[in-house]
Amino acid sequence: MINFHKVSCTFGSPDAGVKNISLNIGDDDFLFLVGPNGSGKSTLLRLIYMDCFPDSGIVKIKNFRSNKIRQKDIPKLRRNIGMIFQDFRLLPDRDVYQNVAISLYISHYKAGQIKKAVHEKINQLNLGHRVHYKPEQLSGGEKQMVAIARALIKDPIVILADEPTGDLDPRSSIEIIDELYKINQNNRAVIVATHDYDLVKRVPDAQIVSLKDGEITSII
Amino acid sequence: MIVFWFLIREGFRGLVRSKFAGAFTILIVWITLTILGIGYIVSRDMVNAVNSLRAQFDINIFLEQTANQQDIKEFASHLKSVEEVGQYKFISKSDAAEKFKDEFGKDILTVLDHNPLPPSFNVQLKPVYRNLASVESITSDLSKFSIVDEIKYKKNFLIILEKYQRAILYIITGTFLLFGFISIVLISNTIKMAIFSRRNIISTMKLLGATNNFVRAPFVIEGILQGFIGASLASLVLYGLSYLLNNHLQSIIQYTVEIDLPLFIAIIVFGILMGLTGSIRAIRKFL
Ligand SMILES: Nc1ncnc2c1ncn2[C@@H]1O[C@H](COP(=O)(O)OP(=O)(O)OP(=O)(O)O)[C@@H](O)[C@H]1O
Ligand SMILES: [Mg+2]
Repeated sequence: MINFHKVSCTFGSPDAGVKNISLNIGDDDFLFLVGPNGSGKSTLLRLIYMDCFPDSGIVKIKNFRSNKIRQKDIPKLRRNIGMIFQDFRLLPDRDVYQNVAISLYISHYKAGQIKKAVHEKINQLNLGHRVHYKPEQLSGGEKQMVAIARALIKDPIVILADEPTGDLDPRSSIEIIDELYKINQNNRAVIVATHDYDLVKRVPDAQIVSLKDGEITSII
Repeated sequence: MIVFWFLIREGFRGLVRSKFAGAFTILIVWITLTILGIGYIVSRDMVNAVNSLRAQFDINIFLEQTANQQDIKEFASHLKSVEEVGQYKFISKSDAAEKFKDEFGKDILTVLDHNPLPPSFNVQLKPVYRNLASVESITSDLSKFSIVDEIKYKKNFLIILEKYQRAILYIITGTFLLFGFISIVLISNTIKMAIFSRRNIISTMKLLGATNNFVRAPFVIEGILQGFIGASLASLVLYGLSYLLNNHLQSIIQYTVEIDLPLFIAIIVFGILMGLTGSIRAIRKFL
């Protein structure tokens, strides 16, 4: 479903971004991107949701190709991708409900569907008691859960999670990985970028792609 | 449809949230449209004044003393066929004598013992042709008739009228363009500041798959609402001023103004357009 073919994206400096990445990710893969800070994990994810483009090589997601996509088709691609950002990117002036619902408004869901779906998802992720909290009133773990809820609710074909366990305690981290694993069991591809090697062990059949200085050093 | 209402609601939210910037935008629209409204009314009344002066303009065509009935009849039917001519009136020698008596209080026959006044036509052109160029071409055509002795009209009057009219036109257009431009720049800069503080939200929305239109719509709706509010306030002020002038200040200024519904509608439309263009200009940078 996702193919990287000899992709380099270096932001015009030799030691930035990623270099010569070739990678195939299937419809129901669970993939960890591991590597130290600055090894290119976030860049690789950004290439998938086309927030940056290869200097050379092609990234292909379903029928969207990085070398052919038109500016106005990028939103269509992104609506098929559930993104969990390294810094959450919650809307600071909206409560939990609205932060999750925005995803459905953007994807043009119907009014009747939105309310029900949002409450369902919020309860499922144990955020029911926080529906009307603003992000600033939430703990790090709760914010992370809201970000996950926002990504999952539109039922995307792939989930991209950038350090989803960032500064969470081990127990919350495990909860989140288990949640992502459940989604993967429902035949959704999941890609998790992390430098926490302990997490990787939670998912038995995951692929592990190691990055160093922007290059793939191993795929297990 | 649901998205439509969502975006409308977002627009209203933005209006409430943007407090200072929003109030400033409203203020600019308000002031601009009040000034433009007053400018419009004053210049409209000046144009009307010029036009009513112009209505007095006429041409006198004096005929040869020797002109006979047949010649005069032919000439009259020619006048009738000229496109530019609105109305004409034949003034015979005796009519002229009558008029002389009315104006000077003496019978011309007792003064001179014969009537030297020639027969003439008094011609009023259709309003659009009451300008120097048309008048000159018509009179030069008419003076080719052999029974026409002399054609008289107030040339200077026309020249001055045209000069004033042009000045008024330039002033109006200049003011409108200047104020319109300044306020759109001010508005879009104000909205730009408001958007700047929300730029992270915009980029998040785009990363979540929002189209440019989706991101833009709430800001544009907000701009339209601000324009509408500013324009309503300007309408209110203009109405208040005209009411004051017409009802309480007549002893000081003898000038009544008429404001009608089309003017208010125009102001509202202008206000909305200002908010619309201002916000579209402003958001362009952030998409
Ligand atoms: N827009 C950019 N312009 C220039 N250099 C960039 C840009 N984005 C990333 N880089 C550089 O590319 C390299 C890889 O960055 P990236 O964010 O992908 O790393 P990462 O693996 O996600 O790191 P971390 O674990 O800290 O999140 C870094 O050296 C970074 O400085
Ligand atoms: Mg990163």
